[in-house]
Amino acid sequence: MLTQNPESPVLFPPVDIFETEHEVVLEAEMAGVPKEGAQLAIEGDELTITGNTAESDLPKEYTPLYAERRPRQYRRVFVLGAEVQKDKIRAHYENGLLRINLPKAEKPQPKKIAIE
Amino acid sequence: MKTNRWLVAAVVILGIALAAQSAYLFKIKNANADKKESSYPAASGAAHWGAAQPQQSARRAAPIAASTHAGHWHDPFSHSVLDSWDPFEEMDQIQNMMNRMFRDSLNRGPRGVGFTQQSTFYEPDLDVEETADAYIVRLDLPGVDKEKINVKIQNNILTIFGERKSEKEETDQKSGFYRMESSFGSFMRSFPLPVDADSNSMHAESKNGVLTVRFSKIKNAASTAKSIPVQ
Repeated sequence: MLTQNPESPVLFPPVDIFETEHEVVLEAEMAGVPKEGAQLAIEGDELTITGNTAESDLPKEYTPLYAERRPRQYRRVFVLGAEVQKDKIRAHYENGLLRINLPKAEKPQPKKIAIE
Repeated sequence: MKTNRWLVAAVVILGIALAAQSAYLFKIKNANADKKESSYPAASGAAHWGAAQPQQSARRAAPIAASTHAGHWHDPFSHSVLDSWDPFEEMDQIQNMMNRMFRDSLNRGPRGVGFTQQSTFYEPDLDVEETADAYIVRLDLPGVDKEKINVKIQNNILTIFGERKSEKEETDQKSGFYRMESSFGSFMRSFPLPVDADSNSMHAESKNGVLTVRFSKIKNAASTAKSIPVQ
């Protein structure tokens, strides 16, 4: 699906990844992607984020005067570490920014065994 | 990334200029060779292996001939050609052109900020499109709140500026960054409006991290031109 349109290259969205006490937060910038176009998939250890731009608000006939932006698709794959609780991942998309919260697993406490 | 793009463009332009100059010099050289042969039929007629001696003498005679026939054919390194075409002057012109290009590229950032200096502003990517009755300006501003985007017109210059505050900076002092690829802080883009843009009809909207600013065109901008009689 991503390779169907050669005129709209697939780009890496820029991301910020930072860690807090209980979770790792990943923020991906995907300007121009509507909420429906942002997707998140987990397969094994791989977290894949994709975004499809759909700028349909443009009129049919126009002349570009300056073009720095491009119609584009985003795709990026991250490998998750074992300490991430995959079943508790939350994602939020707003204003071109996809925020993914990856909760860290509790460290297993050493279990004390009484010596008899 | 943007700096890289300009550097690549600069290298490509220099490459093309070099190729053009080489081609031109080569052409002149060939033209000279042709004219030389036609001017000295005796030398070209003797140009076979058995008669190396007369050919050499003809060659030795050529520089003298060059001074007497300077008006008829051009040596690329003689003064007659350098008078009309100077490769170094052309290089200067290209250099000036490129300086202009860097300086005027949509008025990126404050004046005087070249690609070697770091701007304190970051510059979001921008598109300008023209339709039959309007201009559309679009900027990528992912993750920037509407309240923090300012759009201003002053002296017919459109300026879009604001701040992208990094909440992470304040709240998560202890947290470590693994990757930091996004830009944050102040941003600014500004450029002069086209003559027929109607600044009163400006409409700005932020959606999905893209700011769209629209202007109508003034229908009869040309007719507002005044002619002033000379007295």
